[in-house]
Amino acid sequence: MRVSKMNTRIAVAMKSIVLAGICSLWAVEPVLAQEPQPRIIPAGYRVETIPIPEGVQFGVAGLDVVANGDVYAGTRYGEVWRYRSGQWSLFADGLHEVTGVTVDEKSGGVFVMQKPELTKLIDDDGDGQADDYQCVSADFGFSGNYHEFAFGPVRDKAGNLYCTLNLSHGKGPSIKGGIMSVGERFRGTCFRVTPNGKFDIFAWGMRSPAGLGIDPRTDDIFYTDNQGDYNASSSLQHVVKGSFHGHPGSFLHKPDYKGKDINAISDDDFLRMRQPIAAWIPHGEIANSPGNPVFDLTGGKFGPFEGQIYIGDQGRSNVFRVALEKVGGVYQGCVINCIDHLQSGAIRLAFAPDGSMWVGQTSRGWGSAGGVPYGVQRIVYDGKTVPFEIHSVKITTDGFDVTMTRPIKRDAIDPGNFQVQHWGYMYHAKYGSPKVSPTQVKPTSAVVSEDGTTVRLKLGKLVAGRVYQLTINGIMGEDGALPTTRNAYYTVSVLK
Amino acid sequence: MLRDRIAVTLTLCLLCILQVPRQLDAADAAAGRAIFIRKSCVACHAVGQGRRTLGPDLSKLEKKLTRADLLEAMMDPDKKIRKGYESFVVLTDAGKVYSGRIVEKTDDAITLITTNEKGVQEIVIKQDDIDVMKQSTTSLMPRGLLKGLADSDIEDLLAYLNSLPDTKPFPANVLTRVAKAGGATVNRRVKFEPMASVASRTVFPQVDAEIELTTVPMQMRYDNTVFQVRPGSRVRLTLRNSDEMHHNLVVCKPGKLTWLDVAKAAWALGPDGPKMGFVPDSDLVVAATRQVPLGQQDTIDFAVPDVEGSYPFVCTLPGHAFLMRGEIIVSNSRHAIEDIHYSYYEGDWQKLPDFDAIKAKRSGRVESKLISIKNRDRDDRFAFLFEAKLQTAVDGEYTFFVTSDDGSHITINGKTVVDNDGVHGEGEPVSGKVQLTKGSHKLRIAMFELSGGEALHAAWSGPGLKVQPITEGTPASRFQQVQQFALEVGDTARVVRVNMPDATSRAIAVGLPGEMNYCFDAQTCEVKYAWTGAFLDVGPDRGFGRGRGGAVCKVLGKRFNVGANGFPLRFGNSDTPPEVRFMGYRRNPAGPVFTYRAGSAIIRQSVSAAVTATGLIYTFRIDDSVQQAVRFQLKPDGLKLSSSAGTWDGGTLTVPAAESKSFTVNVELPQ
Repeated sequence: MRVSKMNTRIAVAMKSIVLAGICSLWAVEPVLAQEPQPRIIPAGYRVETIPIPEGVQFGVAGLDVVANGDVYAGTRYGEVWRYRSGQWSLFADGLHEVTGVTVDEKSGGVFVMQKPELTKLIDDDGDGQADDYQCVSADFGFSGNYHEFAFGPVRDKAGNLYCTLNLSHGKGPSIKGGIMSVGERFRGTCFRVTPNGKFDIFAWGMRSPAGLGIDPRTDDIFYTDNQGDYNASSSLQHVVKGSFHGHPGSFLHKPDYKGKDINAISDDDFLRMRQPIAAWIPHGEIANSPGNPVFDLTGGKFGPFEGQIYIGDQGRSNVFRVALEKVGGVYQGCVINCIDHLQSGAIRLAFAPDGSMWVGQTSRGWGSAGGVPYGVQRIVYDGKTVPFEIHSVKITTDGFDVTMTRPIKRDAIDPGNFQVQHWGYMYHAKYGSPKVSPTQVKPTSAVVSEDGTTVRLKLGKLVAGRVYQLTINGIMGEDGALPTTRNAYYTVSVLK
Repeated sequence: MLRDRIAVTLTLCLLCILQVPRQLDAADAAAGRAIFIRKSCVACHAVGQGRRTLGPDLSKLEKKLTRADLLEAMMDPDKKIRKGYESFVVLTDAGKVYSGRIVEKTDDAITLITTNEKGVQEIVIKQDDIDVMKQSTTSLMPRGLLKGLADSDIEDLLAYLNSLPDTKPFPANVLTRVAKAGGATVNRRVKFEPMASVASRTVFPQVDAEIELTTVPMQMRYDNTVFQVRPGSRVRLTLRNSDEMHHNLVVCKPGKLTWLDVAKAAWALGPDGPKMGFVPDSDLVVAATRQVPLGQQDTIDFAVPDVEGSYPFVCTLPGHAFLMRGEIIVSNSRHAIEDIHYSYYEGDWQKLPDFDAIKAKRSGRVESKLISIKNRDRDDRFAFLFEAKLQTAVDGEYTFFVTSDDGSHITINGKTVVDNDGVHGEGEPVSGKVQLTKGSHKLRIAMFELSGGEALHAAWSGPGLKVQPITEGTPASRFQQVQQFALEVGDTARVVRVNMPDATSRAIAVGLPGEMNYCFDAQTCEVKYAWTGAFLDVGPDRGFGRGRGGAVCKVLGKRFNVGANGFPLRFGNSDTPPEVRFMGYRRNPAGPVFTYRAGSAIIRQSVSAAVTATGLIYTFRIDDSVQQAVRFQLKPDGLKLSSSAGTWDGGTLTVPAAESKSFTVNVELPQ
């Protein structure tokens, strides 16, 4: 056996030559004191820009942070970089556009989603470079069309992997005059791969499911879709087995629709099948091209919004919050702008064990706010400041409870501090939808709770299937602090 | 018997892990020969053919080298340099520097064997033309050549070296090709520790110019060698060292060879050199950094006199000066674009119109220093032509960048520098390079818009000129990182998944060291075709100037047929192709090993370049629950086919069950 007789002297000698070229580990670098901050950012939060390797197209579209603090960034040019102790090193390359990275903490394998395949990267000799590029699943169709992105994976407690597939653009037939097309099988779906490698379709009806996330406490899967055909605006949706998310395209490959004429099914019938929207993300007001939802389970290390969802936007380069509740068994809630804006399209978010939030960025050639083509930033909370902001909004039988992060200065609260507007959206093959019959409502009363944090707004009968925009004016904290954002958009899918 | 079986099984398991198909006993001298070629050892060492080249003929050494000697010679070539094979550096009067071995010396001339971008060459230099000739303390053989080789590869190489002499011919193109120095592509550093301050070294509260440069690992040079500042400027210079050796930077007064005089004075410091940082006490020295160790940086402030001139800078550590130097040009000449005129057109085009044949709606001077397409009457169906005077401060190579919606075009003095024509979105930047002399040139930028979005962003860079926008509203960062889309292969195989011509969407392009490349299709699990020469232009898939990407990539180099005819293996007596399922690949410096399932068998396949002709060698390792006879088939098409086992019938090879666990197939072009 040659290996055991192998000259360990060679190995040691070679490694010492190589190691002589590797610098010693540095501590994480200090914050640049004068780094410019976004115009809108809650008190106590700060944005740091992480230096990226020179001469590398670092358009991040996949991001994960591991328990030991290592950051894995997957780029649009098929590379996976690892960040450790202030230094980037190339972990893998030659992949076909990495749009998702998830590390399996137990085995150390790195799952990456690339256009043709869900792949597991394994570094078995611990040299920081992947040696094995294992095909986990290629059971979905991929024509090569530039718009046939694949996203994910997210992992549930049982070890199943979930990924989503973008519809095509120009390849294959379109449905009912919509722009997006369906060439290959299973485009527009969420697929699942079991730990044994079995492949099946988990959910249908997606269009551009660019952001996939999971609540690790409950295994609830959420995804964001983008405004377009059959998508009035971008949205956050809850995915369950067999759910239909609005776009009929994927039904071209649905086994129980084989032979049926999809174009003959009415939009009303499709709408009846559609999973209730958890939160509409109003186009042009909150986001235009949202990325993956992440849950703040940092136990307070990232501030007072524990349990809420954060999503970054690729077009407006901002990060916004989603506060969800369950009403009649259905997830719904409000979206609130949070950090606006970063240096580049904030398409990927990932929490680190230290409670900071990493942001992987790319403008993707489409042009994003901020002007920088790509990069990596990190959002840090100082651990103590309680900013004065809208914490969350909950629906009541005749209005809403608006909760702030800390007590409100009571003196001047009256219904006039609150403006409420609501509207509907159309469901059709046309690209997006304008607001349908936008209506102003004047709250009849605004009562502050005992502890001073919540205002109960009475509006009268609410209408299901509408987005309610609540704007606060002149609401300030006991210390006189004003909130940095004043709008919360609540999606009423189900009445209380 | 059982013990033998266990030993065999364990060895096979280990080989499975190693993914290396070879015989179980000795290391493989034939494989070692392939490595000797792949690593370009053959370019500098004859092995019995009587060739004269940079290094000694390894079959004619006075005493046979022990294994330890061989390993030491490969890992640390500087330790023992053989007599007659010393490295000399020759500086001619014309200022050219050669480095190589002296093979002939007469009163009139010397003959030097050297390497350059063309490979190994013999150069005759007249004695009268030689200014300085100095023997170097380092070997001609570069360090780090064993990097990237697996332990088993090194064993094979040693086995080959022990089997010399070898009189089998080598392909002509490998005899002069030289291994590129090992690159520092992994573990890129983005921050350098500043050296601890001894005394305040940055003295100016404000500076007029900042110069930053970094050493390139293992290549004895600075990454930037020309800078330009105005006379009388206060300059802040930062040197970053990413090389294992220490380096410094000493700025010298203008003069013909002041840098060499300063370097010689530094070397003459002898044992005092290190503690003086190799900076001599000379009035030719304008400013000097300290010796900077790996991973650190040093910054100095100095003032440049109010007189134009070229100030050479150099690293004065012994022996470095010949390659490690540059210049700071002190000049009032600037880089600028001025006298800008625009013409605005309206019309319906699918590509840039012939501007000479159409009439402008409006034209005039552009008052600002930057051009813009905002002075238009509508957002669709228009075109702009900008003409300006381009001033360059120094001779050199200049790069122009552009993104536009729709097409655009940049010409200098009538010659096309960047062609970004066509109907498309902005996409990734397109760039082009041009050699320009110092002075004034004619710049022309044209763009047109059909419909949808419209944009024009352009910039330029050159010696002493960092990326400078030409258009309004263009941050320099947009062009600062322009990707190299034509991928190159060094001495480690490259594996890239992209849209490939004549393959499914699951194609994998592989570039092997030694200019052999092939396309493996992971859908059908077969090698579709191969090509020699340069690797691949992935721009079309990545959106290189043509919008969103997703188009088919361009094979660079010469394609050849390997007779691909669908999945090539059949098992037992079955003629129907088995169900194939791709399982992944393993990266190796020599090339990937693909794993796929075909029916009940698991197959590991690697591909290497044929050694004596243009072609490929497929190595198959087949693990099946029951070992069956295996057939390998392709379309013969005049190809020269051979194998390590089995019998051929036209394009079908039949390997009996007993030999089907592991075999190789050679698919070569006829000579």
